[in-house]
Amino acid sequence: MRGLFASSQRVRDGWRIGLRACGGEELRDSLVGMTGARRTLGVMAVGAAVVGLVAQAIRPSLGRPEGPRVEMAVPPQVREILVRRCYACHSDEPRLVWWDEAAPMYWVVASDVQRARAAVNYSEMGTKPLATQRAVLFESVNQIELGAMPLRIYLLGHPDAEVTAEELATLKKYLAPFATGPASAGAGASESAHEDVTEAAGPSPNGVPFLPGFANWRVISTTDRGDDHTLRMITGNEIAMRAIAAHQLPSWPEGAAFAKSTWQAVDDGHGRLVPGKFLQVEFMEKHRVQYAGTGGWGFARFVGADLKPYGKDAHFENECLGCHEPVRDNDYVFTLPLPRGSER
Amino acid sequence: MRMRVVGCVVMLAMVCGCKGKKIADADLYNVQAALTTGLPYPVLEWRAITTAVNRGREDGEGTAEATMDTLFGNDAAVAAARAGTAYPAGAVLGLVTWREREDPHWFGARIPGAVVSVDFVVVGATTVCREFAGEPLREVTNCGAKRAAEMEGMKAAWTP
Repeated sequence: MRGLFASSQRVRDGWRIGLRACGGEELRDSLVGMTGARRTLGVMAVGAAVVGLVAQAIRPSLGRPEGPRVEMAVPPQVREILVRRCYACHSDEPRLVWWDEAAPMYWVVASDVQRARAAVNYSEMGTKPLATQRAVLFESVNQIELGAMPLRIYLLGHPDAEVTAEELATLKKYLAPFATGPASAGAGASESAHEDVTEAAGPSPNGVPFLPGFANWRVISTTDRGDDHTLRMITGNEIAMRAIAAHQLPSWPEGAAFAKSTWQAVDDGHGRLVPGKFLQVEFMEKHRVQYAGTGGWGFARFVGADLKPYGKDAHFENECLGCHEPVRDNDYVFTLPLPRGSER
Repeated sequence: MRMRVVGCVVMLAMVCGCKGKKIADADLYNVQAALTTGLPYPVLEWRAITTAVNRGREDGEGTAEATMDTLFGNDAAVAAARAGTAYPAGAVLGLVTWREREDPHWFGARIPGAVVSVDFVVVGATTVCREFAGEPLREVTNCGAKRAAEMEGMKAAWTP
């Protein structure tokens, strides 16, 4: 107790000097007028204020990132929505309100904006291939629709970032995934000209292995993707299929794995879309401890007929997790499996 | 003290309540697309050969709903389809056709909706085509040589 008092006395002395230097005469007078615990509290409050002021000097920059800056070519009504609701974080022009400007809030906001830009920066999206731009817009709409964006915590302080139902409808109408068929029309299904590759060049950069035999796994579902004109088939290993039959979802068991094979959708000449060129296979493999950093799932993608592992380095899995985040309640799984066990 | 115990119990219940958030069956499984009983073969236990989509139409000729199919086969059928050879006797193909519906988890995707029909082609001395439809699924027709040829003509999706 004595030690505490002694040190608080030293602090008080220190503050008096500091206050005089800052010209805080009035404050000092009111502090001197206080006694005991109240004085200690007063000192702490002033201390916090000074620390707060000093903290303002530490300001990570939110300047323009490097690289060419080109926006997407989208109709004005679409751009307006993006600017109004998304650009505050996902562009070169951060819009901060006054309570964002003060540290420590500023530090949180600055780090959020940096992360937001790393994921999607609309100010540079025009430099990407058109297919990538379209994919980013679809992901944006889906993140909004599933309630993942804008972040709920961000909306607490910035309620005007909320996307209205009308705005979402405008974005969806512009994207119109099923308005046109695939551009490619051709002979249709499968190329048998390929040499049979059964093993990827190597594991995914995050260490997730290629899982051979996925084409012999049973079917969980299929999807018709109007956003990128592909057909997909999701298959599951034995553990995954047993979990579906045993009604264990949403907690997929250890060792459960899915493969999602993606083909270009082509017209077979009879008004039917069938799988054409094989584009990629993606895996999700459940190992709670090994993949604890990514929701318990190992994500991997192998591209093309030669199964090239996707991703420059292990950081690519942030893309996977970011996209799957809105379905966290479904254990990060988008697919609704066909029910099993009721048929014979 | 008693109040404190009651308080703790209430808070614990709230925490557990949040953790055990009940998700409706329809948000976990594609309940609408379920195959009912009444089929002669366990088609969903078979491997898939390919998948196809009929986008339907809305034009002067009327409307047709968009559907999606998956062609399944028993071991003999899958082996022949992937090798690109003729189906041997004993091969059985099963084509499940679903109405398409919007994917509730992804704007831009469509997934299987209600089952329209399940067709089987049983390859043998005389190849038989049997169609099942309705709820529960019941054999409705002998779908004929044209349908059988159509199904046998579907090429396997190429996978490395």
